[in-house]
This record gives sequence, structure tokens and C-alpha cells, in this order.
Amino acid sequence: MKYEVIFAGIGGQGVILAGTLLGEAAVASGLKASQTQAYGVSARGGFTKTDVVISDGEILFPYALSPDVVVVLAEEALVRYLDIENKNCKVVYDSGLIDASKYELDSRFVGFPITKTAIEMGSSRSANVLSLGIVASCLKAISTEALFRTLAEAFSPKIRDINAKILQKGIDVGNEIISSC
Amino acid sequence: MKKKVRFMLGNEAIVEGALLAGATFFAGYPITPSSEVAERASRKLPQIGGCYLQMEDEIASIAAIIGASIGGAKAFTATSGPGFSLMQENIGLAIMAEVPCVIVNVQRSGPSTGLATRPAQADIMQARWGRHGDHSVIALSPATVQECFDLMVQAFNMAEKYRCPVLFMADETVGHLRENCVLRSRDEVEIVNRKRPPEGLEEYFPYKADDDLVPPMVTPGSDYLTRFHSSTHNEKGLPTSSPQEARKLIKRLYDKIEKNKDDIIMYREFDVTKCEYLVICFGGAVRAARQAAIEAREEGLSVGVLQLQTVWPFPAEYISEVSKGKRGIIVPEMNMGQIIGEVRKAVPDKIPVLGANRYDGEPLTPKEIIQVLGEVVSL
Amino acid sequence: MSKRSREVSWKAFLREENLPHQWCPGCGYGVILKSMLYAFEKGGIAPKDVVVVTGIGCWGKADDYLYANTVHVTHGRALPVATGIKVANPSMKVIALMGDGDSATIGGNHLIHSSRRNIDVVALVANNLNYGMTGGQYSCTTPLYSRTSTSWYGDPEPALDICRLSETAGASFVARTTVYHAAMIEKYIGMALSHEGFSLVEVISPCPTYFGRYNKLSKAPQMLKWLKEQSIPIERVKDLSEENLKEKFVTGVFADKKGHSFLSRYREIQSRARNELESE
Repeated sequence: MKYEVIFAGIGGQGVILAGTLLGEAAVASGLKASQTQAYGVSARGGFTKTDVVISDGEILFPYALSPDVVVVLAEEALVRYLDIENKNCKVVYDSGLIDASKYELDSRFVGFPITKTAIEMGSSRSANVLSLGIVASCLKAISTEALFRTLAEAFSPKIRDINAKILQKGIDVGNEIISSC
Repeated sequence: MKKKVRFMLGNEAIVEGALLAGATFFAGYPITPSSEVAERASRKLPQIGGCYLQMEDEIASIAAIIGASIGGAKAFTATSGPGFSLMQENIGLAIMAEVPCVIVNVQRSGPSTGLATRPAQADIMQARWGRHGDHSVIALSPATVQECFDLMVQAFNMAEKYRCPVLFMADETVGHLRENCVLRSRDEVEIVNRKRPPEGLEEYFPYKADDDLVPPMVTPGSDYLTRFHSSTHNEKGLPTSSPQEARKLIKRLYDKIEKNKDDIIMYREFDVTKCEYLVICFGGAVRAARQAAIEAREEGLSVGVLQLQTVWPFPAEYISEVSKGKRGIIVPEMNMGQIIGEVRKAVPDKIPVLGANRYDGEPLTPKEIIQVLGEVVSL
Repeated sequence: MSKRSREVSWKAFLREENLPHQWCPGCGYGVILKSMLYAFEKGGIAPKDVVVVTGIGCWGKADDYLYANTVHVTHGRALPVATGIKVANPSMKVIALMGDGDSATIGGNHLIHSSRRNIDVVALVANNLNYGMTGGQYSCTTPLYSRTSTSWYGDPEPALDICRLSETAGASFVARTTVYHAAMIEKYIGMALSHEGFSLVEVISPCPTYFGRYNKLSKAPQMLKWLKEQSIPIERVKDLSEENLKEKFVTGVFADKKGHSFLSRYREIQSRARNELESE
């Protein structure tokens, strides 16, 4: 069993944290995980992505060469994954932030207003948590209990409950995406 | 007790390894992509009564860890290319004055400020030859987060054992990699501490070596007066211009590492002896190489991987031996080809040695190594 | 430390096998070295209590003549090495012997930050106004328009005031005197040794061999007399015009402040860190 995931966006959207939490939840589920990151020289703005590889065996190359799931939160990130090779890959993009009408996207691409939904649920900074939920439910390898525990440990009590709800929303969205395939 | 398997960043594991080895002092100047080492050290060291010092530059940082080690602490610093360049003169001081310490270089793409957040392995010859003057040096290179932890313990052990700086040549792909890491406990690993002189000596000679070529070391405030010197010195630590004394010192400093190669050199073998094609690499490139070897085997090629955990001193004799009878050698590096020169010197002339190189700030991929493998096969 | 009544002789510090020293006739460094040893004796400081860190230059040779814990390092880096030693081994008296090159020119950045940090180290700066060891080139403390082997037509750069720089950056004890005022050297070093925080003592020292020879002061007595004439006690500065203060060496205590040294602050940081660890 081996899964490759990419979270991509621009600096400040929390995509690297999403990858870290996914990896932590995978390790807490008894699996092996690796996470790499690519970002610009400054803390805000610029293309940012994180690759997460999850496996039940040793992970050699820690970059996602043939991702199973990609979540993109910015157009700058989407354009890099238009030519993705893997025929079974799911690319979930933030349809609230990205106008995808100018691209010819096949059925592997699914839009969902990720950031907008997170804001409506009470957190302007939790698009990454919703993304995490989508990916986790697409993979089916991560223990839901470990996922929620990892999330609870990562955030302050103030935001913990809202984020738990947003994570659940992400899981539901992920399940819908899978069932519609 | 927190769970022992962590999903940990390479740079953080470096600090955890240092702490297990007994480090109590860090001095540094933050620089991408090594800053997480400084950040974690600044959080952890004060908790155990140790010290984190943020110095005015990298020159001061290496100077301060040399001072702290002389003062009796196990000390380390962390930097990347630009800072590593600034540290060179005082790495020479640590070599000459025989001060144990560990210098972490999380390599990034250069030269100069280069691509600050992107990986490279292009400082590996600088690690060997960055200082002026004749000397040998120890450099280790981790390929996994677990090795960031485990090899840091070894780095400190070697620094203490041989009274010398040890260069820890990580790179961005490993420093910024998160993966499973087991934090070992004190009783699981051997911790080496610097050798002390026997009590009751009539006179202590600060640079008089034992048979192992390493002089015992004294902490200020103990029974003997310490003496450390950056200039060519005699056994008393007094400067000398005598050619005999100079030769004796330079030879001993060189030999204490080169004659202990068997102890210092560490490597990992993946199908090395039975393979037809051998990939020799270190650090971040190892991951791509091992993946490439698996994929090539699926295509019916017999490929092994030799991972150099110790890059300096270079295991030339071993490589010379193990490469006999191979049909080709591939040396993948995230640089224009540095270690390949050492491999070529070691490998018998008739065996082709090809590099797989990347120097655009992107990590090497298995595909690129397989491509070069194809070239070697078709030779 | 000064209250200790241990019997220590200054002679215990002298490495007689290496004497006589190699400093030129008329050089002030022998006077400064002996003053330091007197201050050790008076303070009850024994050779094993002190770490002497030296850099490069004529004054950097001082450790050759000493029985103490000595550390001879690269040019300009005595202060950061001393910083590491003191932090790792706080019970030691750590004293960095530096010339004008070591302390303020190549090592100027470390002087600023050691002062700001207020690290508990003594900086004993012997300022002979030029690079003596390499043949008398100008340094950052060479007086404006002075002739040296690299400023034959005059040094176009104004001199740096080491004491003012260190004081401004935050050093809590700063004093200057000259080799002419020999008794004050010992006194200021004594004050520095018992001070908590960064303490800097600058001693202007004659270099008749190079600086003197190039600037019509080649005889040792002549140069000492010049040091005397150029010195102005800090108390008198307020009465003098800027013009009258040009090229003068202001002597006396520039700063003597009680307060938080780096080590006392860092102990506070360590206890905060431990408290946070316990509350986790």
C-alpha cells in the first residue's frame, strides 16, 4: 500500500501544515509517512506545495511523482497540475478562489469552494483543515480517530471545536467526491 | 511518556540527536534551510540548563562553540552554504587547536545566496578542502530523518573521540523532510566523552598524544592548566617554527583521522556485492538511488546502492575493492559532479563511472538515475 | 572574587622559560602584562581560576609568557571564543587580550555585540595605534593623517573611539588609560575583574618601532611623553571645545554600571524554560 498526496497553494494558506497533519495522522495510524515541502524565500505569497507519501513499508523517494490526490488552493498551483499523468488521480481545486472555466479539465478535476466553506463555518484560516479532511477520506488509510486527535493536538482550544467541524465537513466532501466517481 | 515514534522534521531530529549525545551548547545565526535547528535548540537547551546563543554572524557562531567546547561543553552550530563559507577559518582553528565540536550544514543551492530554499549537495568538496592548510576532516551525511538523529550522535562521538570538528553535511531534502523517526534513549546508544589525562601527572602536556594520536583534553578549572593554540605548536602548546615540530604536528593531525578510517567510515550496502551495476551516493540523493535500483531491478537489471554515511575521510580502498567486476558505476549527486572524482580515483580504470547530476535546485529523481543507468548499460 | 584572601603571587603566572619576551624596546606591552598579573594577585586570582584568550598581533603573543588556562585563536575572534568559554564554564574568570586590530577592526562586530550582550568577559585592549606585528600598517584606531607603512601620505580615515563604541553598545564597565599612567592600568583591570557584565579596559600603548618611527616619535621616552600630552582626564572633557579634543586620548572611567549581565539574564531564561517544561 502506498499513497502520494500533494497540497498546493500560495504561501500563507497553510498547505504545509495540512501535509504535516496528514503525515502525523498516518504515523499515529501505525503507518509510515514522509513529507517534503517547496516554498519561496519569503513567509508569505509565492507557490507553495507539500508532498506526502504514506505507505505500510519503507518510503524511499519522498516526493509525489504520481500523486493519488492533489488539493490546490490557488490558480498558480492549479496550472502546475493540469498535465498530471496518473489517470486515477483526483485533483480537488478551490472553486471559490479559482476560475477554472478557462481550462479544459477532465473528470479527474473536481471543484469545491474550500476557503469559502471554511469561512462560512467560522474560520477564515482553516481551508487547509477542510483540505485535510477531503484527502483523508479519499485515501481510506488513515484512522479517523487518529486524524481528529492529531488535529486537536495541533490547535489551541479556541479554534479546536470549529476546526473539528470543518475537518468533518472535509471528510464528507471527500466521501461525496469518491462516490460520484 | 510520549510516544517514541515521531513524525519529525530532519532539522529537528538533528537537535534531538545532539541532545542525546550530551550537547548543552548551541551558537548560531539563523539561515534557510537550517533555521529549524536553531529554533529547536533555543527551545530545548535552556530547559536542561544548557545555552542557546544567537551570535552576530557565523564567524562568531563557530568561535563561540569552540569556546564552549574548551569550556567543557559539547557544542554545535548549524548553518547553510553562505554561513559555512564564513565558518571555514575557524573550522581550521578547531582542527589545529583540537577542539571537539559539530558543524551542521543543511546544504542549499549556491554559489553565493543562490536558491535559498532549494537543495544541493554542492558543498561536499568545500567540506573537505574549505580551509587552507594540510589536514584531514570527518564529514557525515544523513539520508533519512532517522539518520539525522542517529548520525548526530555519531558525529559528537567522533568529535569527542578524535578531538576534532565533525562536519554534518545534511541537505535541504533531508533537513526539511518529515518522516517517521524513533527517538532512542540514553541506554540504547553508546555515548563517547573526551579523554581526560590521568591524575597526578608531574607536568601535563596539552598536545602530547597517546598511542591513538589523540591528546587527552582538560577543562579549565581542573587539576591541570589548559592550553589551546591556533598556530603551529609543540606538545606544550607553545608556538614553534621548527620544521621537525611542524611536520610532527601536521602529520599527527592528519593521521589521527586517516589511520582510524576503519572506525570512522560508515556506509550502508543495498545489494552491493552481488549487483552488476553499482550506484554510489550520499545524503539526499540516496533516496532517489534506492528507488531507481528497485525500478531497474523490475526491468531485469542488477543494481545495487552503496550509501556513504561517512563521506570524509573517503572510503577509497573499500570502493576500489567492491567495484571490482562491476559493469558500471553511477554516482548521482545534487551538484555538477564532486564526489564522482573521488570514486573515479578509487575505481579500476576499465570500469565506466558516470554521474547523474542535478544543479537547478530540484531534487534528483529516480527517473534521472535510471536514464544514466541506461547509458551505462549501452556502453 | 576580590574578597578572596588566597595567597597568590603574580610570579606564579610567569612562564619564565619563555622570557625575556619578544616585544620591542619601548613597547608598552610588558607594562600592561605585569599590571594584569598584579591585578590577578590583588584579586586573589590563581592561574587555574583564569582563562586568557588571545588573538593575533603583538599583544596576542602574551599567552606565550603565561601560566594560566590559555587559548590562542584566530585574528579578531577572541571575544566570541571567550563568550563560549564563559557561558560553558561560568566559574572561570575569562579575559580576552586584544590589540586594536583584534578588538575593533577585524573583530569590531564582536566588540559591538559583546558589549550589547553584556557578556561577563573582560576585554583588555592594548591599543598601539597600528598593526605592529606585520610592520606598522594603519588600523581603525590610527590617528587621522598619521603616516604608516600603508598610509605613507597620511591615513585618510578618522580613528575609532573604542571606549565610546563599547559604552554606547551597552558595556557596563569601560575605562581607558595609557602606558604612561601605569598605576591606573592595574586599577582598572582590578575593577574590571570584579565587575559583573562586559568590562573593557583600553590601554593606549607606545609603538616607537613603527607608529613612532613613522610619526617623529621614534624614541621611547618621546612617545611616552606624547601619550601624556595627548591624554585628557574624562572629568575635564566638558570644559574643552571639540577642536581641543581632537586627536586626544580621553582617559578615565566611561561607564561603571551595576545591572544585568548576560549570565544573570540567561539564568532567568533557563528558569523560565524549566517552569514551562514542568507545566507541560
